[in-house]
Amino acid sequence: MSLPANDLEEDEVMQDWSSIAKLANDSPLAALPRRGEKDYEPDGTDLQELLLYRARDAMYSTLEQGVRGAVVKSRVVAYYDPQSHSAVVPKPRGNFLQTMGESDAQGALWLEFFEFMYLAERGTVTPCWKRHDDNNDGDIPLSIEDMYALFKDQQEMDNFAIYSQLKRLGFIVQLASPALSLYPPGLAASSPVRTASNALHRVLSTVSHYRMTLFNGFMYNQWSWYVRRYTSSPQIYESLNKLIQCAAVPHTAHQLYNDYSPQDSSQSLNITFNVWKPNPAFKKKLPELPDFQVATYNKNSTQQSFPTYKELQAVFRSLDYKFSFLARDSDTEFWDNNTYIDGELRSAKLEALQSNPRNKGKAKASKPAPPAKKMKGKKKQRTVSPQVEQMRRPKNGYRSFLLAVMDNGIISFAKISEADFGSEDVWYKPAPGQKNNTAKPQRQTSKIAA
Amino acid sequence: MTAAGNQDVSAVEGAVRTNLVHLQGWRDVEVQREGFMWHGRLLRLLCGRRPASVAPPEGEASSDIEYILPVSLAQHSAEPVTIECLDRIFAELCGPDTSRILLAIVSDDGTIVFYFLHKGIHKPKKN
Amino acid sequence: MSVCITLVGGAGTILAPLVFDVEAIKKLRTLGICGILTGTLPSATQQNVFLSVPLRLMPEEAMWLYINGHAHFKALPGPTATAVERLLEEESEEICKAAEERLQQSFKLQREYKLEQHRKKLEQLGINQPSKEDHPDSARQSKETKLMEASLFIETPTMSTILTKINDKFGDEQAKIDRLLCILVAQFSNWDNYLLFQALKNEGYVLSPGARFGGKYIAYPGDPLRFHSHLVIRDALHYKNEPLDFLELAAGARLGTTVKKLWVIGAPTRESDAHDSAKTQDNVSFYSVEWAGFG
Repeated sequence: MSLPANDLEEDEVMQDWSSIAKLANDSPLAALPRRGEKDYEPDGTDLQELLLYRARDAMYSTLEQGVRGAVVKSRVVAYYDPQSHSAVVPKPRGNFLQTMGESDAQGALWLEFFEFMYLAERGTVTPCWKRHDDNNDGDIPLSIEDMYALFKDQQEMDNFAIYSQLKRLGFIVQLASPALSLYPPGLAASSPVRTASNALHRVLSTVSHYRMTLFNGFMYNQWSWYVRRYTSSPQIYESLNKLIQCAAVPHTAHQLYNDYSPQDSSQSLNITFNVWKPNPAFKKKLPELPDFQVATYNKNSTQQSFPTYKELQAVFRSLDYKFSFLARDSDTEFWDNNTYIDGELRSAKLEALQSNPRNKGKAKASKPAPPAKKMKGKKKQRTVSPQVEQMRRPKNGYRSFLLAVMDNGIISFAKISEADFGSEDVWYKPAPGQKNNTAKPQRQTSKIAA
Repeated sequence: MTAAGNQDVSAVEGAVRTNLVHLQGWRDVEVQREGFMWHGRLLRLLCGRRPASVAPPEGEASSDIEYILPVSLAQHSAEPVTIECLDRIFAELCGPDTSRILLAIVSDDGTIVFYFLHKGIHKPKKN
Repeated sequence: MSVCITLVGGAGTILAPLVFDVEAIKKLRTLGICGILTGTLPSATQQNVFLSVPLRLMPEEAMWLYINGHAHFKALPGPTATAVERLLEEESEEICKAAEERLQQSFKLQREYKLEQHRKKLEQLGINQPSKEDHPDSARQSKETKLMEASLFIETPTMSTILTKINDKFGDEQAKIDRLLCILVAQFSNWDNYLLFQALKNEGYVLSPGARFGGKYIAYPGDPLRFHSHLVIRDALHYKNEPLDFLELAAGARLGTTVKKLWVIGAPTRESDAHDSAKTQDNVSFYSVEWAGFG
């Protein structure tokens, strides 16, 4: 887990509301000279009093002027339906349609509660209460306070705060769902045969990874040392390596398939959201696999505690996103052939879309995109030396997810990944045919061995 | 408490004293005779004079005497230092003007790390 | 003048106390209760540094305000949706009408304001606006009116009018509020942590959630807008039963030294009964830890 260092210094820089106040109104307040840094402690001087007054005033006026709403011309109304705890937009309009909600047969857009709240807070939709009677008195508008009272429990409120935080950063966020998966539909079925063979496979793979512990026990007693002689430095590390037990971390698609186990709601920690990096070509009905997944956690809840090893394992085994170690992001062919949407391959669905005569025009429009992507991929492809790659692998890990920690309103993100130190051979191996080599590579790798 | 246990305690005290005298340049470091019984062991402080390189407590540069509490990282559950224990240390084993003691944590590889424990809420160093 | 905070019940929980009224937020800040703003700021929606109402309070902050008489509470039993539906069955007509009136009033003011601005602009440019009695080009005027009508702003209000109606029905019996606040503290913190909070507040510190620095709270010597925080406070220890974990102490103190703060540990001394203690200002024993700078 790691936090960026500059996160800690956030506290030192003054949160300067006067710059934001400028956006709200052209107030001369911002033009006055201001101290850019914070003070150590109150010293009772008038200068400090004045600076404090100004800082607070900038903040208060920004809050007071921060009115949420929309202009009549571009107003889009969303109605909250208490029975389904979601909202419907009868006449949907706007950019948010590209990434949020689900359309129904009548062309209305249905939003999850947290999507509804986010758009209402932003001013993109006007929130109202959905009436089930045929009374046409008019709309019952909702206030922000009303909507916050509709959360069913604290976890829902926390999830909403985390959702908003990610959305404000520009990400595309949706609820995690088994409908979008790397794994073919049959795999997810928890039939007894499947789980038994899974279990057997897991046992076998761990045994093979433990590298024959029984054999080790036989070979590594003190008498064997009299027989055995080491003639080169790598031999020592290699034989020591056999003594160390380590878990098998999936690296390949096949290993992932064998380790997959969909999450169930009885788990204490679950993946809540799928997140994609900002992408103007995002297809809501045919999404790609998410770029990463987020689990939410309330630090202060006495009913929740930091996940145990088993609980974390359950989360790792349920991870289902675009694993970066399987293929490059730009390798659209691989990903399209390994993404299942509602049980069907994405590549098949794309083909169906293109062959549909109504979509011929759309298909043409999307063609120029792939060559541009390839170009980008080539530019970014800088070859790094195997030593650097090796240093990066344990650092980045394999499967990973983000843990969003909520602390009474403050959200922190930590990345938790499966690191595979066991399979990295971090001692110097001379290239075949070279014994006493004093060339540069030797110096670099000896650092790793130490 | 077993004889072996007492040995451990004096080993920790000795390690801290050696480190302070020979590695950190402290003078007159001695184990105090006075102490109190805490969970079956005799809890005592060390007392010594700090070198000039160690900053004195703010506002109290008059004396260079510091009290040191030696503990072992591995044995913290066997010799539990609770807040109640610290209160007693400050009340009974230090002088009445003592505002801080030096906590010396000995780990099982022989390294020792030092932290100041100030009584009450203190202020961080001003930049 | 005390601030009014509504406690909303969820499924077996009390939701975090939220404050929507900017006047209340100002009052709370002068008391040294700053909270955390969590809503999207409409004038700058794609950033997370500056956020808007609602202000989210820690359970300790709510409890402190209650005990010291700075806030009074109202309870809204969950699930809220059911209560709202029931209310609408009886009063939907009134509510609709009231909402429509507010909207029309807002429109009226906006129209007056816009016409006034328009008139001023024309004056500045030296064009005399024809009086209303004349018959100007009716097509152009209706187009202008249409544009203006289309640009009228419909506000999504922050404060609720519906919830206050429900509140009135359920009231604010003291015993109930007392119990609800205790449940809030028990579910999302504990009483010892509250005692630490109270002791630090009495020393004049402003407290905020401390997860970013690995602690329970961080303490500012004044308003966080203008001062650096001084302390990172750990969750309350038990005075007699909880020994210091030296590894954790070292980690906390090292982090503190890096960010120029002290690592603070504390425990209520339990000289009196826990629940009465808040009222009699029970003693808390604190220690501040910092790296010695050598070793």
